[in-house]
Amino acid sequence: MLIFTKSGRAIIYLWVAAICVAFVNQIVTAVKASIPEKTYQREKTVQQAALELRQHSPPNGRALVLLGLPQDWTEDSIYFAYRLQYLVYPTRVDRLYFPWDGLDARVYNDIYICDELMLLRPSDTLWHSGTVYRVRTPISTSRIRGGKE
Amino acid sequence: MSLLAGAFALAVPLVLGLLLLALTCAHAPYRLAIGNFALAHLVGCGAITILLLLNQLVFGKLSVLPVYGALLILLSAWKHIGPRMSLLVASQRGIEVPVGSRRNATVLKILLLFIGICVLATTLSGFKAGLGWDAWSFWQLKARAFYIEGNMLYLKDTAHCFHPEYPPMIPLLSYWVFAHARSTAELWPQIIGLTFYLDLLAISYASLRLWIDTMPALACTALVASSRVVQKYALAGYADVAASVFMLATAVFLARRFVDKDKTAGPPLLWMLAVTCLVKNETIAWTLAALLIICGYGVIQRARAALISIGAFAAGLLPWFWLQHVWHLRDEMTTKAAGSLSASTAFASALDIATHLAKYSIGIGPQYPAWGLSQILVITGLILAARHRNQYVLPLLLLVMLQFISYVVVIVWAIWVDPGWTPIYMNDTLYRCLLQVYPTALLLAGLGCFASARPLNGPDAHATEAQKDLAAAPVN
Repeated sequence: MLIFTKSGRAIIYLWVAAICVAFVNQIVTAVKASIPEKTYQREKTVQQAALELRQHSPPNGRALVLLGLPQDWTEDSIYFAYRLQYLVYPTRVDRLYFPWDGLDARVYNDIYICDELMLLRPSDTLWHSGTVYRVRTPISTSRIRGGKE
Repeated sequence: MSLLAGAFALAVPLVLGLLLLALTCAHAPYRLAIGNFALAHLVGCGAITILLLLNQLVFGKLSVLPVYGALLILLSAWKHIGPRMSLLVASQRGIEVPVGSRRNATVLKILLLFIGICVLATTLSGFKAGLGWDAWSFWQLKARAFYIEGNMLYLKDTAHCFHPEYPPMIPLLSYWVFAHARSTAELWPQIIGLTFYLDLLAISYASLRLWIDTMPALACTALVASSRVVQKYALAGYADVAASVFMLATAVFLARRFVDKDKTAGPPLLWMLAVTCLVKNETIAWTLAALLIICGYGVIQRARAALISIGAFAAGLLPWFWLQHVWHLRDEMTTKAAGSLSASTAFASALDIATHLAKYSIGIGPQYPAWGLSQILVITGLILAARHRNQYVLPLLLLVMLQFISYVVVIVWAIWVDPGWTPIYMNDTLYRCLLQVYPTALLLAGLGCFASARPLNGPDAHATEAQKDLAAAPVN
């Protein structure tokens, strides 16, 4: 306490008091605030997908998330891919970014298609939520390559 | 039952660390018991990581047994360890209330209450937010894989494992708790994060109290506790808060060992050099920077400490280095071909990153009041330390500067390899880099602003006595 004068110290303590008020206010807001609807919705989507995948896929199964149709991948789709990978381990989740050349769709138990699925129009889509769709029956490589039916 | 087993697993690093510190340190590293407990927890976490890695290397699988074996061996030496253990545990407890000042006592109580509110708020908001992106995409995903597979082979699954080359302490600690609780609930990594957050507060306070009075030490600790960046990542399942506390402890014992010439700080410093490199890539850079500074002091002071320090670092890193080498776990940045950035663009990126770092550092927005005050304290501390030729600040400043240089170099390299990731490096990564050095920078600020300077070529004395003398010494 050799450096600061009494008034200097007083300023510091006042600032610390201000921090107390600001921080408590900030935290109360954070704790009270609800999770944004978008985050909640995408988490609900991936939890549902993980539940179904665990039910019908063997432990050493594989799932695929196709990303980036027709342009770049979106944050929602990459969230879906990584979160699904975490939730369903040891089922492996591959990610493939558009264009999906060289894909052998037969090795996968499930394929999830993110971002603008409407261009693909798979007839066997079971459900959809937001921008994520799941196709239970593996779709053929040619359909994948073509990008359209 | 699962909860009890998990809680038991969380306590084991502390007990193991206390035993190891008692075995290797003739004197308590800190005068305050909370500092010793926090340091013991860090040492215990490091020791568990090394033992699990050794088991993986030797037997090809993970098992908790070597840790219990080590505990038994240490307990068998209780006759030797016991008296030292009592030194660690019976160190000065609690907070010293300044005598004769009711106002100071009131301010002190307010600060304590504030820190308590910060801890509570961080805990509540952290549990509500859940694990962060990096946690479930690699840090905690690795932990789940280790537990489900019973080994670390997931790291070799290059098609799915993200960043297999990252140091394994955080996933292995989660594995340790999962293996006891028999559950991979996301709650456990969050509680591990909370323990590191508490370690950070304890070590910040205990370290500052080595050199400065109770009140400013508590105020600086309150700044750490209330900082938004610390609060945001404390329970996210990341390695950054853990990295910051390991880095801080390394810096503290480095300063004590070579500025105070306090030989009792030697064993804790060696422990920190051995285990800090197992937390994150950035902590490897920090440890290397610390070794460089130790070598400098070693040459100046004609001490052999540098050689011993390098040995401790190598011993701690060896199991992980060995596993990386045997399994060919490579950093994706070093295996990818460099992108099409020209040297001039890379230089511009370096400037851009340095600008961003400076901008974040001095940002004093209404939403980050604690951050703003910290920056003012750091700048003031540096100026005052330079004026008073405060030797304590020198190794800390060197460490922080070398670390910043390593950040800029690594991020420029990363952008050079993959320019597409520039926005991510610029936003999230830089902010977390600042979090890692923040507690050490605040310690530097506290020392510069509030501590008595250790005079150049001053007398060497036993640390504890020296600290008392310094606290009462007039300004140079």
